[in-house]
Amino acid sequence: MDILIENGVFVERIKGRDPIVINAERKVILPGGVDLHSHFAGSKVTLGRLLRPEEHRLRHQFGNSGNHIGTGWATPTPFLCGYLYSKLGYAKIVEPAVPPLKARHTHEEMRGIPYMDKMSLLLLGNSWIIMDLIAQKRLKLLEKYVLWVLWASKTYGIKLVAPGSGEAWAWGKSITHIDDEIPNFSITPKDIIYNLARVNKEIGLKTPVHLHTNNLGSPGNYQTTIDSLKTVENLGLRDGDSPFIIHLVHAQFSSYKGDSWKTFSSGSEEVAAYINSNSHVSFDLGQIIFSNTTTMTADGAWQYNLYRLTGGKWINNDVENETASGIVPYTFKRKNYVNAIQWAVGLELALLVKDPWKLAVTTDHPNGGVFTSYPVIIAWLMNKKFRERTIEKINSKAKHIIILPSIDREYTLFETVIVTRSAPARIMGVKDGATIGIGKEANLAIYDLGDPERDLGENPVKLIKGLSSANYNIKNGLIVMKNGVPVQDFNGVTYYSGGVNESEELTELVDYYFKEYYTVEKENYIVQKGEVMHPVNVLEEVFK
Amino acid sequence: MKIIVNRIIVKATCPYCGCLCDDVEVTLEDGEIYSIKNACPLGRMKINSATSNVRNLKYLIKSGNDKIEVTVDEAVEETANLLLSADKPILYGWSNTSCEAQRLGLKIAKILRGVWDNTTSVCHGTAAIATAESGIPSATLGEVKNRADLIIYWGSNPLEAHPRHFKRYSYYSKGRFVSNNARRKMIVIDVRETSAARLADKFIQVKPNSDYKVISTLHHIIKFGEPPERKAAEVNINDLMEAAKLIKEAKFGVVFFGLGLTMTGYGYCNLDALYSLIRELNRFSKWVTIPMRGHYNVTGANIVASYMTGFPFAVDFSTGKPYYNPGETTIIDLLYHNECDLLMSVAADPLGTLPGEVVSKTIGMKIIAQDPFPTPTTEAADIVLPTLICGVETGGTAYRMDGVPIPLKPILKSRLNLLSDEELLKKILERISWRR
Amino acid sequence: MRKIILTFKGHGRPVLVYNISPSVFRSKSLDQLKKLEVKSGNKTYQLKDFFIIEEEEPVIEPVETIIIENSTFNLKRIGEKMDTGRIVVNGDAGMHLGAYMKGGEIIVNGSVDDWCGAEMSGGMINILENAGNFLGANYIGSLEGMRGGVIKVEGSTKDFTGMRMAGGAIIVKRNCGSFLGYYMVNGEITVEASSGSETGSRMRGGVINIYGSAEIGVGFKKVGLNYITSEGKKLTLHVFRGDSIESGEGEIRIREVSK
Repeated sequence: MDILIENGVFVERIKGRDPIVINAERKVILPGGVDLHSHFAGSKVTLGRLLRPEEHRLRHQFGNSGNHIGTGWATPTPFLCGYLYSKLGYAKIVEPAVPPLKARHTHEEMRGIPYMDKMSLLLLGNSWIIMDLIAQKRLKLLEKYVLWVLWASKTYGIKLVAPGSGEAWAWGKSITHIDDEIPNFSITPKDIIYNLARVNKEIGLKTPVHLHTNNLGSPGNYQTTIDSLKTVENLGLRDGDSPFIIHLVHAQFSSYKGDSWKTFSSGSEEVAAYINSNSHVSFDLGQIIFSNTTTMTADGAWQYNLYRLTGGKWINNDVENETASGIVPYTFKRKNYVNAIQWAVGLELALLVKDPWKLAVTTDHPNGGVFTSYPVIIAWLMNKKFRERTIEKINSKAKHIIILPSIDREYTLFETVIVTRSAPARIMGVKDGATIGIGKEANLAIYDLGDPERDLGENPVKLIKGLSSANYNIKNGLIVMKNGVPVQDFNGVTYYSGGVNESEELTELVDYYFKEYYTVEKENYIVQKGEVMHPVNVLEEVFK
Repeated sequence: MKIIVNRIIVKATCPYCGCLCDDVEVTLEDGEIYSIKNACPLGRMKINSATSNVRNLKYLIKSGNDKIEVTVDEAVEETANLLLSADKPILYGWSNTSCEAQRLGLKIAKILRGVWDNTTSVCHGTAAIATAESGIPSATLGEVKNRADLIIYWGSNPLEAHPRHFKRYSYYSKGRFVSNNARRKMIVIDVRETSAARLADKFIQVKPNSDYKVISTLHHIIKFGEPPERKAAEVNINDLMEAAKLIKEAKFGVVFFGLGLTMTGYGYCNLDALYSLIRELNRFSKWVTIPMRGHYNVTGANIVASYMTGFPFAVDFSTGKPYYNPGETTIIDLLYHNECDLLMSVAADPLGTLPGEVVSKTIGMKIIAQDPFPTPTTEAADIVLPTLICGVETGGTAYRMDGVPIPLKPILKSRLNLLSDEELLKKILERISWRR
Repeated sequence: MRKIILTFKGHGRPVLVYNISPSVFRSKSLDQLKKLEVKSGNKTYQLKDFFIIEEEEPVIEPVETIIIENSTFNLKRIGEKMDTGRIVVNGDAGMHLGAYMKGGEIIVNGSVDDWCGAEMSGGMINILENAGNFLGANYIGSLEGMRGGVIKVEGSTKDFTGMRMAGGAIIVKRNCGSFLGYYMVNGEITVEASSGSETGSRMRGGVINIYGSAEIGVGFKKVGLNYITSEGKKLTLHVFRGDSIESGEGEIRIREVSK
């Protein structure tokens, strides 16, 4: 069977002469991968670089061609980021935490990432304007504001990080219950989750609200997670490719039982059971990998806790009227009881949730581990024996309380394609970019995974090696990488949503916050299209 | 009777200090500056410098004892010649130009296998080093404006060096939870009584180079509730006890630090100690610290270099891979050890600002100076590359002292037939890439 | 066993000689040695461009030995990452001598520049004159400096000696600069004369012995006395614990605290 590509799309028949022919016999041909949650660009990533020169000193890759500079591991330079994703066979990536005030910075870095199509999610869970509008019940105006601020920052969707807790952290406090009132704002985290999920549906964004739950990382948080998901149950499903009303990001970090680090245990059964019996939730794993990494999140209070636990380095960087953030280096250790449980939780979720279309493989790069570890996760999912080999090496107390050993399910290759391509693409509303079909965007990765007649999961070493370096990565019909070596320069598009609206009420609202509370002018807050690499608005540029 | 043909108001971002005030309004009359609103005297001076007669106007190349005028292409060609034949060129400056120019500079340095360093190396570099050692608890300036009830200025002279800092971001600003300065307290810590010190609720005069001991003692008082058993002679315990009381009462505190902390004594240790103190204070209430960066885009230079190479300044590409080791790859150390044979200065004046001992090492080195204004560096240069003034005559992007990116705008169209830093560097990069 | 003599021809600018290491030299012929990569400025050279290379027949030495004659501060990275053998430097040595070293021995008949023995984990460095800053220290960002091995300095050292040291021993016969054992985690530093200001500051663990005087940070609290004999002399040392500001458990034993 031949796959034909011309002018960047799959075609039935090629019109031009002398096409390039790739012999992919006995190879595995997949659509380009989609990573819907990876912190690869922007202010906090650069602060991570500033915090850890040692990482960039020790890791040099792709450093010697032309003016391209590649250093780093958890926080690779933009060039390296594009190369590594491309080598892995990916085509579209999502930066999931952009503070609106610093969106310009995110775009500046994203411009330097070759090959990939980029999307980014806007941090709105602690936004004053949003919290005020919810408190004042001006919900129509809230819709307009969300469209405007997405447009102003040229971002794609809504991200809520520990809603309300960032505002509390601005006073050095945190919020532990989603029914607790946010200091100085007469609303609760639940109000934010509900209202933004509703707004998201109303204004027709292409992807659901992405939620980083309150109490992330803490023992016993699975209850908060389920409560948060229940909050939006009655909103029904969304129209369009992505029916989900809420996307639970790095679910692993939100699925714990216990009431202290000593009684810490897995809440994966409860969370998976909820997801299995409800159709409005999608999620990604946030699988941890036993290694050293640089954790970074807008959940400032959690990062402070993590700093207190590790006693190491800590950066905090709160952004006025919008969000908190923190960065802490961390090492996940096999022999650490909590880490070993965390490792199991991620895989348990992936194996207990029945419908692969509901989930995406991520490590919450770089929080659980780096994205180049994805092939290892695939091997764990496809091969029970390979999981057992890791289980043998983990903390012995943890080994005896996790349920992972009792799960027999092994992913088929087809299911792994869903959780690394089709499902994340569908959740993000870019399904056509990860489909091999006539007229669709030609993004392909070709892998050598051994004898395709046999069970590919059987030999995890071969599988990991093969998935780690695609023979070919074809982006928009161009061969951009061959056997892990960049072939030509190419820049993907940047998708964004939202639009401008002439409403006087909106102008008045936004102007007020800029006059009273922001320290920049409104016109300088707006990222111009010229500052964005190949901008594509998936909604209307002007709305009524 | 004067007929006004064309009077327009343009919004501007002030390209002077790290405050990067973006509310400046310039009224132009027939393309000339008529008035400037919302700028401080320093910003006004910078914006007005567009009309100054003291400008570099010509592309010059040294020939014997004279400099002869050449075309832009000849100047670019000769610049490429010198850069390509250098054994280890250093490209220095970058804090008074746009991020776009900084990126091109890094690419040029990478191709040449040279060194890229910026003025951070001689001002707040110690803050970057301390951040790499232990991290910095920080926030954007709006957090201070809206929340801070205690503001500490340490080793900085805001009213003289950052005149609008008080009004826009700190003591005199109005915010959501702190509506006026009656609800804020201020502590100033400095070696001399600055004008800000006279407005402060508490002024602590410290002895020169005693900051590390002062911070350590304050940390001890805050952590243990009492002064240390062995008291450092340089420190006034009563002052610090009073300060500790104010500090512990605050709900949201900030320490703004300047060159008085970063460049005196063991600057980097001062900041290690300060960051450690701020971490401690976060156990009681909310505390952040923000550097008082000098040049308007010195923060951008660190950010751009960090994301492009992994390192914030002093990046040595001589082995092909970026290498960063302050104390070795910083301009002062490189010149001191005779490591470089060519100095290209972009939007900076190393010969006028570096210590004399280091400047004397540049004798015999080839010097290329790219600058809108004449300086001791352009005076000594083998090649002078005049440019437009970034932020006044051309635009771009810059980062404020707290890492907020803000667009720079061309305020007026220059009558000079010159290129921007970005355009000129692009030509040089193209020439070098082509020649290699 | 072989002995290689490298005579430095001199150079006005630093030369990176990270390949001068017994582990690299071991299995190479004289011809191969001559072609070893050396860097200076932004160019790559061969070892023979900067050195006269001679080989001596096996003599008494049990391990492979490299002798560098006419060495100056411009030779950077001598013995970097070495894990075996012996290097004798006649003259001064530049920055990063024995950095990341794992084993073997380096003797310098002269002084060394900064970052000597930085992040080393084993082996022995013996400096017959003085050392610079960051002796046995970490590189920027790393949380651990020297982790094992021994550095002996017959003369004095500058600032940040043993910064973030996490194991091994440093012995300094004369004075040290300021911030001795800054952020130190483990291991032992002995200074037979005096050290400068902020000795042991931000120390988490480990031991610093000072047979002369030093100024120590405010976070150290006196916990007792310690009696030792050094070179036949009996010394009474005051023992301090800290740095309490960092909740540290390090120990400074010192004859006299200076103001």
